Amino acid sequence: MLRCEHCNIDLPDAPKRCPLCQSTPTGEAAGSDYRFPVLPTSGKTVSRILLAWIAFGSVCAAAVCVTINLTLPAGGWWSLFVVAGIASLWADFAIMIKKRKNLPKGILWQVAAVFLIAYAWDRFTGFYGWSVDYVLPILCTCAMIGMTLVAKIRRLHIQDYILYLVMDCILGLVSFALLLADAVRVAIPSAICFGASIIFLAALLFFEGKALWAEIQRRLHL
Amino acid sequence: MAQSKQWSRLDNAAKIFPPTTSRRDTKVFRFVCELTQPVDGAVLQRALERALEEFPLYRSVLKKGLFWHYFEESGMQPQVMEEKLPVCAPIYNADKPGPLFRVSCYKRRINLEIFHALADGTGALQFLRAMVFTYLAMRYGVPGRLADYDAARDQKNLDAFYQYYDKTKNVPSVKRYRAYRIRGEKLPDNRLGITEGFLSAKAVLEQAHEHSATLSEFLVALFICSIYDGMAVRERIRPVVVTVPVDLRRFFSAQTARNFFGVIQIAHNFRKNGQGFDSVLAHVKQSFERHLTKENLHGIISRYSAIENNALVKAIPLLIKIPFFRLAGWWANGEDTAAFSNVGRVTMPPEAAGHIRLFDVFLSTRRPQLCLCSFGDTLAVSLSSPLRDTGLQRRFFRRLTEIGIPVQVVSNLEQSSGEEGTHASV
Repeated sequence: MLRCEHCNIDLPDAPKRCPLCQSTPTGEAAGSDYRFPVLPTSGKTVSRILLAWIAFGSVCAAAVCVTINLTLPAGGWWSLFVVAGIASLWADFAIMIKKRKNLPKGILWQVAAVFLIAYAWDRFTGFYGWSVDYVLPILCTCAMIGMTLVAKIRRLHIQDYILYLVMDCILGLVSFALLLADAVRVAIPSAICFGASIIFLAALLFFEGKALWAEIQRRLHL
Repeated sequence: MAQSKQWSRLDNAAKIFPPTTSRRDTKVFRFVCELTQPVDGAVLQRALERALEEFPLYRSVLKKGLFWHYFEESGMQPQVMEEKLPVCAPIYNADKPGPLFRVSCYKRRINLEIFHALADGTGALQFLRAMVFTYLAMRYGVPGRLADYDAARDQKNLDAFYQYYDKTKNVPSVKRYRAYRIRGEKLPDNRLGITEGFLSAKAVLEQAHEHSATLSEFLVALFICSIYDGMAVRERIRPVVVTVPVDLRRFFSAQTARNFFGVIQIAHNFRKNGQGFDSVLAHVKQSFERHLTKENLHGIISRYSAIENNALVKAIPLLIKIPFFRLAGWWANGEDTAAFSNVGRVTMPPEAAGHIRLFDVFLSTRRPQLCLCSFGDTLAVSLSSPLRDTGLQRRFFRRLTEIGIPVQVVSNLEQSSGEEGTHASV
């Protein structure tokens, strides 16, 4: 067995240096008797490098647009739209990446994120109301169908998606409430969304009422 | 209709772990069982499946509720893997529910890594023993069974804090220290440096008894002195504080396989409480005696539980609780210099013990942490630290060899060193 004469310790693992004082051990190594595998420190993965390039590309695009806009200011401040667009895309992309492991949850987050971004754009571009007229009801309806498809294809347990589906239905009802409150001017999307929400909620309550109740209990336990 | 999944609350101590977990501090600990023969992964997989039947809570995933995290039963089948991740690599990921433990093997070692919210050392040890014993029974036909741990399912899943929480108890006030902190360059990739020392339990015990101290008192005193030797003179005004988790099962009857521990702090101020090993040991002994009374420990349980059972704390949504927990964790980080935990003696039936060389344990940590456990006459003392510097390790183990105790040291510090070639080339 190797030995470090400075520390007076035996080194059964046959390291190149004494782990305590880093001096060279003496004696004969008793074979390759290691307790820990060699694990090289991680280099950069392909996805990291790709992400860095895409991020770099979008910053470059934004910078170029702002530069052109500054040198040729005749067409108004259009570069602000480019910058805000890139920022919106990245904000949404970040949420998508973070929640990618749990699809129903990710879908619900997308509904919220895309709606908020759309609302912000609507608000700052004259407030024509398209975000509540079209975006919210269409998102909610698509999310209901999307979650159901994901659940069927991935054979998810009912408790893995029921709460997200219910929350989406409630968002659908909010869209209907906005219609009643005259905040929505185009009725058709909100009406369809309302119908779909009611149908989905009824199906969940009648067929999976117990599971829903169990899920609510566990999620809300104090 | 699909069957409703079982779920359970986190026990009191577990609640702090999910919010305070980070890449730098993964709240993962590893138990090692080193056998005399190389491990057969396929057999170990079957042994793991058998052990999981006995410990169904270990199949849980951790989920977020509106107010607290909770465990949810899952049907997943954890796989035994050849060790290929750094020690105590992250297990819990809030966005990806998965098993809360990991079993890997490398050569003769079986490694069980557990996220601390699931269990403490004693709880995890029961799981490891069951798995190792089943492995040995399958691989070598070891007869008999583990007779000393026969907790029923409800006993294993018990939240013992809840059981012993007494509202009427006086809650002892805690002394807050601004402890000396060891600083330095960290290992790359948030890795953890492990230095394991194998000693003769008998030899160390003899030394401890010569000083009329227990093993823990003796080693804590030795540890504090090793820390002191590395302190700069101007830093010596700060106390050296060693946090010691105490297994409450030793004081309150419980067989839970989850968390049931409380922490006490052993503080030594070299200006006030004296220098030199003998005065440190005397002071450490005194501190242990003061803290380790049933009365005081009951107070600790009540202090922990009072926070959890406070109606206001309960009613705050988890989203808001999490930053507070993080802040508390960060605050508590500055209050100790190092930590010391003694898992104690691990026993196995004699037929199985012949196939086992030793048991060892260590913990992910942001400050140096000394863990010990013994098996037969082998006392494994592991020092884990995120720092590159090994001065503390050297001083501690040299102090042991200086008093005539032979030490064998293995370490993972060459694990990540690419520049000097690999082990395989030796």
